[in-house]
Amino acid sequence: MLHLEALAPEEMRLSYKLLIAEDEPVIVESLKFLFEREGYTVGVATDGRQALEQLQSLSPDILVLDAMMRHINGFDVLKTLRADTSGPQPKVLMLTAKGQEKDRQLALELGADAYIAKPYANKDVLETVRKLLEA
Amino acid sequence: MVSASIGIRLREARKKLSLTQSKLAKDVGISVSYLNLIEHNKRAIGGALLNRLADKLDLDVSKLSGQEDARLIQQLGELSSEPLMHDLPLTEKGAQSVVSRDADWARATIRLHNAWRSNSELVEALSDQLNHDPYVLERSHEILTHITSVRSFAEILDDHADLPASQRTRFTSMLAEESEKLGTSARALFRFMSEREQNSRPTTPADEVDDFIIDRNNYFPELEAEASKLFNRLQHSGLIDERALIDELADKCNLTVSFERFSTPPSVHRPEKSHFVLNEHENHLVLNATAPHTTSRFQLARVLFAKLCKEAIDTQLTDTLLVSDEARERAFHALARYGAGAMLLPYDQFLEAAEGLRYDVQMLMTRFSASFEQICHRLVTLRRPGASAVPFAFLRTDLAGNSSKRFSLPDLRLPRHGGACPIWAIYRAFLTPDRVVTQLARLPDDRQFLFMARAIAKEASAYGVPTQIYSVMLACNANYADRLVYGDGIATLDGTSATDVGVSCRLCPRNNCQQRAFAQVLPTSELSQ
Repeated sequence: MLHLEALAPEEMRLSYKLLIAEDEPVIVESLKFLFEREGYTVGVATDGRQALEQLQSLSPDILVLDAMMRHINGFDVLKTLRADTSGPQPKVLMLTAKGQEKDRQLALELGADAYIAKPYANKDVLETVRKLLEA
Repeated sequence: MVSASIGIRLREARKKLSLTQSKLAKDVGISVSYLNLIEHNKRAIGGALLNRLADKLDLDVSKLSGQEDARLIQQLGELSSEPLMHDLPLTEKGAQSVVSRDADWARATIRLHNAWRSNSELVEALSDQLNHDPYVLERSHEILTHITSVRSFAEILDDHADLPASQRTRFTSMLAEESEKLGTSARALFRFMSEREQNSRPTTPADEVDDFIIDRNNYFPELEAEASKLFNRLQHSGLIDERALIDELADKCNLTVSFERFSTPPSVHRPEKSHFVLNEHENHLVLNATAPHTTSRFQLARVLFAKLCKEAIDTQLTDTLLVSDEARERAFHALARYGAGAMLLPYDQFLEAAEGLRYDVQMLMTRFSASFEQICHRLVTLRRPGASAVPFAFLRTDLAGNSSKRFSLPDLRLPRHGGACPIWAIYRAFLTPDRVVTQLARLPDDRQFLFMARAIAKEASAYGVPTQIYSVMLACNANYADRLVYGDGIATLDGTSATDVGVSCRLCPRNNCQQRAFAQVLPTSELSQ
């Protein structure tokens, strides 16, 4: 990402692509609003299957992933993503209602970079995404 | 392993019969040193020698073969694999020793272990069911989703003052919709949990009766009407005295009454019966001459109500919550006591006095010539729609913490099995018998209740008969504290003077409680998932 260093922070974010994988339309709407307002290019997948397709077509820098989704759940999406080492490997933030320690542990073991339990504060989500991209 | 226990058992049996090694060795035709080796498990034996030894020591040779011992030793050994035992140095040698010395103690330990394992599996299964019920999980997920949306949109509206009007309107509308859905989901979950609790079958006749009384809100209008008629007929200057009750029993029931000294309680199963014996064949009622006047009067009223209002009571017993015959019998007695209370402490007069005296039980005792427990019991039944008293929960416990009477409130469920929270006033009251102990109690979810308890001793009927000691407690939501004399100086709803309590250790999340006796069954995080 060295080519981005000369750009202003907003311009940097503008060049980042972010994929939201979440099956609750209202949560998608609020997240999309928040990330677009921060300058990210936002794609949306409303189930696990779509998420895997868009990971290929969009090649996002970061995936904001819900655990409990239709067709393929978030943990399986993560497992498939990390197993395919030939493809792009975005940073992954899991946002989920499953707030138990064992779920957090599982997510991190499967390759998530961060894990936030619902209900979250918007600023925590934005701050975590920022840090993951800066890391 | 098998031969080892044979040696020990042979030695134990020989010593039990006070036989010396040399005598026994001579009797079975072996040397003392060889017997010594056998007894110390250094020589295996079998065949004819084993038979001779068994015969001389009066032992069952089949048991000496060691198969049963081996099984017991193996089962005892399984205990050592329990995580609970990890810090105990349990060895196979020790298990052999226990089995050889006293196989029945070994069997008892194994039986207890099996029962414990079976119960643990049941608890695990029930916890699992609660935590993995698809409906509960789905509703919980829904609720969390709605809360997330509500929080997120509220923060957006708060943080982004520059939102275009159309977007602000849209987000506000979504916020309202999500709030509405949140309420619907929460209500659905609450309803589901309530129904599940209602549908759970009680396990004992006493539980059936509890459920029946709670279902009726501890108020039986038909019995109140019958009691009111009896009160109006028998009262003199606002009270029914013993004489009027005895006369009525004679006139209407052809029943004679006598007072005698009881040397032993007539019934160990129903301690309250220790104050009277009703001989139906001879139409004779014997009352305990040493019982307090309030008790005799109550028992007379109870027998009279059961005789004269049997039909009204029986009508109540057709309730489907009463499944077993024993439950119906228990319920009959409970309703006869209810009728007696309603007769001696008539609804309207008693409610008016209770309100006027700010529920001062001591003053109500004097006004109505009744005992502490009778007054408390009656207060709990004042639930007539449109004319109800302060809603009270009621609990009676003995010194060992066994609850013998219990009436919960919708927002204060008293534990059905085992003791309640040891910090509750009902237990503290034992420290100061016959004095009322008050307590502003704060539950883990911050709801506050006013507790009022008093320990009472029921006089023994004769020398050698143990005195019955109970503690009785009334509890009401702290919002009613200003209507009660017991709330004076104690009830500050800001919680500064409240005592932190739970309902019972098994359900209490207060991990730092110094009085904790048992671990919480389900951790708080799992309960809230």
